[in-house]
Amino acid sequence: MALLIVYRAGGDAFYSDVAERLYSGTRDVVKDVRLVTTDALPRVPADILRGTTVALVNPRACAGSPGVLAATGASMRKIAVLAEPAESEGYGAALALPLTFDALIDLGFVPQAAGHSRSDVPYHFVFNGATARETIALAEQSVEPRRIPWAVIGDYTLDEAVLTSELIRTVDPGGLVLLPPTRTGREDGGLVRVGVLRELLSSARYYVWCSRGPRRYYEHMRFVGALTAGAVPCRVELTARGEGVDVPWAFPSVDALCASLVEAERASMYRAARDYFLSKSSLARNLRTAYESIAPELV
Amino acid sequence: MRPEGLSIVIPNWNHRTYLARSVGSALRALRCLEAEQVPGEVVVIDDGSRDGSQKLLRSLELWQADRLRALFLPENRGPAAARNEGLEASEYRYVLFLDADNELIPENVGVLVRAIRETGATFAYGNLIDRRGRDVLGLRSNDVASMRLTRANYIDALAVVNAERVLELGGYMWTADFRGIEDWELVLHLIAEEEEIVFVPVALAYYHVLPAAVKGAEMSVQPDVVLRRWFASMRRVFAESGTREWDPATVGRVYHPDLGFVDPSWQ
Repeated sequence: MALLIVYRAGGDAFYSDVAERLYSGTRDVVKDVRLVTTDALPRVPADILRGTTVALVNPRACAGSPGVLAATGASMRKIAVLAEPAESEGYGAALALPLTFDALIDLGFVPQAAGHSRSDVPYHFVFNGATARETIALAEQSVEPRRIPWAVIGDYTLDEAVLTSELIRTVDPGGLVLLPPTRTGREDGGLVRVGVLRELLSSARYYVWCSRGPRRYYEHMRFVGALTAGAVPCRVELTARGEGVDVPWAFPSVDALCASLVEAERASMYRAARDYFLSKSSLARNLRTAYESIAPELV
Repeated sequence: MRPEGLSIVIPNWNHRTYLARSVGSALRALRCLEAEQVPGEVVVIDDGSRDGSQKLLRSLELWQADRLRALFLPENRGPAAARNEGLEASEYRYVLFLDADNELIPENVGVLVRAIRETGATFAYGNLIDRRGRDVLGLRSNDVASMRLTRANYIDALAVVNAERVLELGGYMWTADFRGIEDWELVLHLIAEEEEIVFVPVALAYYHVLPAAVKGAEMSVQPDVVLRRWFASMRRVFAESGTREWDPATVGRVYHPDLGFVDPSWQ
């Protein structure tokens, strides 16, 4: 096996999606790649591991499974894969594991290089671009009328309760509101699998959320889920936007967002979000660039 | 069988100050339902008020004679008894319970009616937005029903029920032991009877958080021994599911009329 992408099944929904997305993009670039769970990794024979590159998606979670650290340590090359802010606990914990990673892949919309403090672990940013299937689907996506005016979906926060109330008052009361109490504690607010998010947004015009996160981070999986479901992703930035965040339809306040959400603008808003996404090169191409630098023999 | 339609039942006890808001929102909801060809009515159950509520309600009855009725109980019997009176007196198959100090989001009532009709559920609820004046304090009733309900209630009585089915099951527990937790007991009862409970992911109403002094005696805390005995018996009943992780076990479902049933994979 040339490359094993490893993730912890049954855990964080956000990183389960990241792992599947990474695998989907990598298959277009690397011939011999497999997606396995942490249960399976320790069963790989040592002689095979010695010739294999292991990519741990969300290393801290993977390390919680028995045998993963030892198996990864026995591999030819070790890659940490993260998709969250560099300031996050998970990012720091990944680099504090008793493993010497040969590289770190940061999957997202905004590079976290400025916050990457380990000079001995080479950093590689991979824009979370469209998969081959998404490129085709987005080109065919029509902006037809939809019944659900907006959707607020994620772990409950007071900010989003306030957002919901304002959307009801000023835009349309009939939006979809799914804000259950936090269970996963994900910093990205990864409430649901992307597949479920797409299902929920399949009849919605706009997907709206609030962000109080680090200034140089964008909730890229939310954007991808919304766009591929045909909804316009819209973020309310409750902290000032940082450098390098050029994603469209980010608003400085709830009032600014509500003022923009008129049906007449939806088609152009959707096209602008789609054009942004498709302008950034595909996920496969971006991964190829990273793998060529990290492990040239893979591509 | 009762005819299709919605009765909005408003139990009232000394909430004259808020009646115009709650009744007004209910009447607006009826207008929205009319546009969807759903017949409806508002039934206010006055539970022995002594603040002038009766006079106001009699005026409202004259003014909205074709859509609003008021029933006057001779003495205060508590919210459970008032809701049971409302279930009995209501004309239509579905009943939406609205506390007199709260306020519907009229446009979304029809979504709940469609949901309960299309799913055949006995109980359907949506998000409630907590407010104090203009300030938003949070959300409640914002999660699918699960066995966490045996530890704490998070589903308010402000919901739509199948009136016939709830009456068949005995309605609300009205005894003194359950005063203040009758809505919780009803939900647990429905779970025990394996009735369908659906969460509809829309905002159904504003839950106005009032000063404690306004709430009155019916919200007083019940003796610990009663609660402990009740919850112990309920948890024993459900312990037969055989798993230590039973608290997250989902017992309700999520449904939106434009989406169908939704996979609550966040559980």
